[in-house]
Amino acid sequence: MSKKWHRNKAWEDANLTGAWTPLRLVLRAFSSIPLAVVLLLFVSLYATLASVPVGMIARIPTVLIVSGMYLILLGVPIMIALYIVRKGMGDQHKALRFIVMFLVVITMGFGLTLLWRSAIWPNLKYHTSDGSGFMLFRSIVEEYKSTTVRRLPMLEMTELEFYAWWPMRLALILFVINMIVATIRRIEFNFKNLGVLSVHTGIVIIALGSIFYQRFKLEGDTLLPAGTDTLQGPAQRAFYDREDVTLYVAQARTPNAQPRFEQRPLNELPLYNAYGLEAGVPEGVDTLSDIMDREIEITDKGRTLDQQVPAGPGTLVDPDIKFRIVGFAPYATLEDEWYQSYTYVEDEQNPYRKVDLHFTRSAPDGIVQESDPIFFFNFFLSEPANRIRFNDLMAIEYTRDMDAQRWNDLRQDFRVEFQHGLIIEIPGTSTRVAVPVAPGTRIPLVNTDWTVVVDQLALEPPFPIITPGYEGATSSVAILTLIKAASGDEPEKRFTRWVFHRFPELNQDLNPGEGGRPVRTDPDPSIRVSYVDASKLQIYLDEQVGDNGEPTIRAIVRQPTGTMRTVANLNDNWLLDLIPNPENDRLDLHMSASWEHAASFQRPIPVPMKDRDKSVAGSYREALVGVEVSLDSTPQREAWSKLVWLPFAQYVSIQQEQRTKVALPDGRNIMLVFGRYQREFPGFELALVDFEMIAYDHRGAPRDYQSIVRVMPNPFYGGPKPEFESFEHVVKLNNPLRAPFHWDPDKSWITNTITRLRAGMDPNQFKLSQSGWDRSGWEQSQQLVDQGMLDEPRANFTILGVGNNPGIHVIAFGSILMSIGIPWAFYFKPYLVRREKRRLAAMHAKDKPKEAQA
Amino acid sequence: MNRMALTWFSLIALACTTLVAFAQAPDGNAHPESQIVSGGAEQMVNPFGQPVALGLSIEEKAAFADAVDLSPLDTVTVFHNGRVKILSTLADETVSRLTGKSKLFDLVVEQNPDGTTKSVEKIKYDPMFTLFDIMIDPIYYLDRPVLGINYLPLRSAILDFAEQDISSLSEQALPREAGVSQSSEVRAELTTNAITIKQLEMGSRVVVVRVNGNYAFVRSQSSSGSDSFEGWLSKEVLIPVFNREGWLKTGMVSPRMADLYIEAAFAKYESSEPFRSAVGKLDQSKNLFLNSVVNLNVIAPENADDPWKHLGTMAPSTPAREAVTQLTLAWRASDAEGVNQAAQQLADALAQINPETQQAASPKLEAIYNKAHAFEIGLWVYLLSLVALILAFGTGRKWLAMLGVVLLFIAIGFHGFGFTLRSLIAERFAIQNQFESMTGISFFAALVGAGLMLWKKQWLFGAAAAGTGFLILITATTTGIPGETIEREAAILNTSVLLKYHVTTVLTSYGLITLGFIVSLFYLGTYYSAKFAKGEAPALATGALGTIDDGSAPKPMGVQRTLKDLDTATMTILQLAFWTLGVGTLLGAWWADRSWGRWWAFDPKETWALVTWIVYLIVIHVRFMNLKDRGLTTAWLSVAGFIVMLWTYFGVNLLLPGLHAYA
Repeated sequence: MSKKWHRNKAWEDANLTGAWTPLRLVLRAFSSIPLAVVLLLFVSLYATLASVPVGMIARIPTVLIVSGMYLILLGVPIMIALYIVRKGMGDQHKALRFIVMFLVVITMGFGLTLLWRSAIWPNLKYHTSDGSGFMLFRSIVEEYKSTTVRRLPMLEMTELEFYAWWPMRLALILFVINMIVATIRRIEFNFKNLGVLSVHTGIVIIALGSIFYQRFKLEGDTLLPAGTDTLQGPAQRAFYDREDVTLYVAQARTPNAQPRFEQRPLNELPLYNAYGLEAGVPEGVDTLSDIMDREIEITDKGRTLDQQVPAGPGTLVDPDIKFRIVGFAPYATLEDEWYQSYTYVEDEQNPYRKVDLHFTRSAPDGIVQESDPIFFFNFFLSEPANRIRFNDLMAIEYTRDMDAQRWNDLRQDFRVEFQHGLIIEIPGTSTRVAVPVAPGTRIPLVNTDWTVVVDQLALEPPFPIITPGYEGATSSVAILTLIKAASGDEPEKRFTRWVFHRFPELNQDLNPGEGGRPVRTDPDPSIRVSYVDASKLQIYLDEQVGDNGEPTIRAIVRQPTGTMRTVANLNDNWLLDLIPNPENDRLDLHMSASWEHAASFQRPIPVPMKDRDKSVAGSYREALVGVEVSLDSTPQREAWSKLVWLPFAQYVSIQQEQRTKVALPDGRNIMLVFGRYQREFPGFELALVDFEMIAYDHRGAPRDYQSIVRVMPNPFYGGPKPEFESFEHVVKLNNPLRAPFHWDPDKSWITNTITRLRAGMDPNQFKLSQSGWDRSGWEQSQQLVDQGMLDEPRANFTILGVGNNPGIHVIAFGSILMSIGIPWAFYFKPYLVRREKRRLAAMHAKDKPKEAQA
Repeated sequence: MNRMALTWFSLIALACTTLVAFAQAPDGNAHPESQIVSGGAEQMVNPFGQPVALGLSIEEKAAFADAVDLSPLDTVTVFHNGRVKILSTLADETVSRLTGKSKLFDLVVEQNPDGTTKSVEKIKYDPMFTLFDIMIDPIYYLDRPVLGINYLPLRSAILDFAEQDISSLSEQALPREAGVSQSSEVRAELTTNAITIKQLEMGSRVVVVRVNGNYAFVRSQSSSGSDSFEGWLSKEVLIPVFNREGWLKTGMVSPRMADLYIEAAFAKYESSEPFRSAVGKLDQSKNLFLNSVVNLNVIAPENADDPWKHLGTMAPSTPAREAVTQLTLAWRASDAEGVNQAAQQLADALAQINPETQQAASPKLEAIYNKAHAFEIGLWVYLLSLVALILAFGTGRKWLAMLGVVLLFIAIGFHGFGFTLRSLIAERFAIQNQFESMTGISFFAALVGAGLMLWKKQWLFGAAAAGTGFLILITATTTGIPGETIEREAAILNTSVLLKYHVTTVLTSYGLITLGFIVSLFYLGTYYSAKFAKGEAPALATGALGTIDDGSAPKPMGVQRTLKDLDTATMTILQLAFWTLGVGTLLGAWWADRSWGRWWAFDPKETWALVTWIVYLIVIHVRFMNLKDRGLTTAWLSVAGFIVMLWTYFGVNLLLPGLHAYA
């Protein structure tokens, strides 16, 4: 204890009495070292809770017990052996006894460890896969194996939020007060104690600097698109915040105008746990998931969400349109869910059918009711894309009221084995031929002027089908050249026709137009061509209402060889023996469920924990948010609401497909996007001039990334504009760009240093670090370079991490004080003390002879 | 597979979906992904041709391996996993990744007449031989223990499936081991060699060497006598024998087992993360077994921008390809002399191709590094040093102390030699992954400990240095710590000078914490042995620790003096650890500010570095409190600090996600 501390205590004991006693106690408490130790322990435990999953903490008792068992196994026999040796060799030399005891410890320790490893540990070791082994609190260990306390639903905090929470703040404030008070009252302010004073001052400065830093800290990233070979990429004036998310809302005023999105911050949005996953699910309906016995893990455990999203000042969205967050899924996919609906408009009826595929080895004749389906197919008969299911080996098409002409074409008997066939008719004549074809086949039609040439037989049309109603649908297609010979005054007529196997109504002719560009028209009615694709097992099911008013299902089964059979009316909804074979191993189809009308909605399906990418935890990258758009009731209208689930958009500006449109009943349209909050750079903008990935020798892994970035003043910035001229900087790993201030070689060193120190306190000074790159674009272009088609590889974008560092120099100063103070306290101060002692001893020795003489 | 099965399998495949994953850390922040098998397997021409079944027995294989000398190929350079290395390194890495061991082995089991095991001989193969053998004669390995699985539940699951399958086998096929189901005469007619016709009793265990039609060539000992037997038997009399426990003990499964049962095993336990991880590793090993030949990118390019090419891309008429052809033919004929000649020719031919590019990779240094095993030798010398110094403390013999000190410096020499060579080969300061940081920690700690020993003239510091060196090196070299193979480092590390200062300082502090821990163990050992000996002095020779003149009050004698010296030594080390850890952490914050744009992010590694520092802050401050026994409290806190440091160092890296993925 220092003399200063004694003095202060004595003064307090003498003066701070009576009414001042509480002050004395407080001063005494805040001067105490045990308080500092307790607070430091609290901080350590708090950090443990923040970073170590609950499941891992729950393992601690087990680890302690197992470790204890090992130590007991090791310790008890060794102690007994040592006791015996000690007793037995009591009269021996100490050194010999030590050697024997040492050998006993080593030998027994080794042997007992081997015993532990081979016989005991394998039985105790816990395996999550089969649950074998010893583990206390197993359910907690498993359920919370990657969940830290701050991620629990009642907290929902990021690391920074958790560390900025009041318990931690309070502890740190108490610690700083404790340190200041203890320093002032216990440590002498002299040269010798400069070390400890520096350390304590350094810690206080770091704490103060951190408060300022935390107050103004901004962080995120910006994506800079590449330009062309000669032009820099488009300038970016904003960056995306690292954690803050927002609801982008725009009201489409005119059909063709670009929507102007405004940001509505979602400050209270959860991050780690699911809420309101059932929002938007119609109540009491049968869903397709129910029929499929699909287990959807509802991970929200009944938690709901209700957060209004108010408009900000200057909003461009009509004020009567309200937005509310009602659901959140941290890691989910957005899927269409179908349900049985009893209300529909007659023309918009969308019947649903479920068809099971059964496989039975050595099946008896007839229906095998007891066999379990090995697969099933869902069909929505009003949607061309959803009435066909196919893979490489087989295809099923399920229609309703197929027109007679197509039905007849599909059941055409070609009389020979074939894979592709055409049926050609000249309307108004008796000409009708059914011909197996292959690419290059030429078919002159006898007694007519027509010749059909097969150019191509493709699994899919060269361009996706974009006809409204057919989006997402596909079909094999025969691309033909139809030639009508010249006759009389008529010149030869030659044009291309696309003939679809599935959708004959989409067949079209391509006639040469001006400039050689083909002109698409409806098929020339003077010749009709139909295409039958028998390259795989084809099954056609068609529902019709029979003469008695009862629905019937007819079927055609065409083998890959071209042989075909028809079934006029399925027996009990079964289509048997799709692929006849001698072993009678049977594939059968069974229409097992049907709805008159299926309606759909979108719902989040949580991704199972085992399939999640753990690096995504703590971000919104795989998140969905449920937004309710509503209109209040007024005298002119009823209340209305609609729920939409929005997927997260990492970079809103480049992911236009992320926009979700909500049509209001009165015709207004709202566009919504869920993404990261965008912040404007303070008065400057950035553009990518060039990017290069620098690899290790011989095309090894990336060694560095290099973005040449141009920094320019932003003339449209509303706030105070920084004064600087445009400049370029090479951003590399560990070589960030500083903007708007940067080290200007044209200015003096002292000017640069002073400005830089000042910029260190400025929240508007940013640092931009190389953070991401377009790997796939680079690799694809590298292949083109290797093929001689490109001069050098290129990336389509670069990503720079963005962050300001307000007060970083204050923190750095505190760190330097601390780093210097510690060796002073540990090494220099003892030297000073020893020197002082020697000096005093020397003085004492010098004085002694004098005393003796005296 | 018949068409029907194909049909419904493909239907089921309709339901498959994929998941796109994102990474949160900046690009360049993680070490480059290991590419165990080089790209381009699809286009590769196998220079060894299609494998053929050679049908060698274990003894024949071992004899051939013994006679083969592939040393001329040791220093042939090859581009693999992002860097130029030598073939012997590739061989070591291949065998290690396949088996989880440094060498592949075969077990020759000799049995007693009653079927019990009489003796087991372990035949180990040189990794270079194994590398070439799995490329030229992979069929030999299909049913042998080759693929190592550390994770016991996966190994058990695969062996369970194998056992079920084998027990359900009738006469379709035979595993390597079989038993005789009925007394039988040897069918000699199928072999051209005259062999003794004898009766083989029921119950004999035999090893099936090869199978030809309905007959199998087997070797065995008769169950009633010690006569060995070799000859053809009808498959009808053989029943499969599956020694599950034997397989389990090898720690490995066969490639065929992996191929047959990996999917079933995965499906059974896919919800378990460690199980999935183990399946992933096994899949990688299997892929390496099947495609190790793809790694022979031995054709050096002219300049650094161009990729290395595969041996198979050379024209068959080139000397290298001709040598490969000779090598293959000789290998298949078990002609060791021919193999040795062809290996020399191949090495010579490859050395002629752009030698400047090859030499840039320091192949000779790498060969020395591979053969020196400096870390392994170093750790055992550390152990000897530790034992000598402990005995010196106990017996008070000065010569033992001197021996311990000399051994310590020899160990440091080996350690430093390995560290330096590794840095030269890797072309960087070798502290950039877990293995390297461990060898670095122990090296810095040993140096500081030895320095303190010389400065303070206390052998105790030397003993702590030896203990630290031994403990950390044995952990690094025997427990499969990631990073033992030399690979390219993360770009974020490669481009920073601050890394060297930050990591070196932090690692030094970790080393010092370990030193302090060991000295604290000495303290606790002395304290409790004195206490439980009921006041009697322990068997420590007081004074062996040396003397310290710290200018403090007169020292007590006996055990108290020993404890006082140990306490002072502990504090000397811990104060240094406290300072270096604090400075190292602040240097890290400086680097983070520069590299990631924020000086402190409460990343788990940062958080735990702070917690570790706080523990030592507590150590410093509790000594100002009115404690009953300051030294004892310090010693226990030092032990606690060491455990916290271990968690910061290993637990955080291996168990918690964070930005310090490379640490």
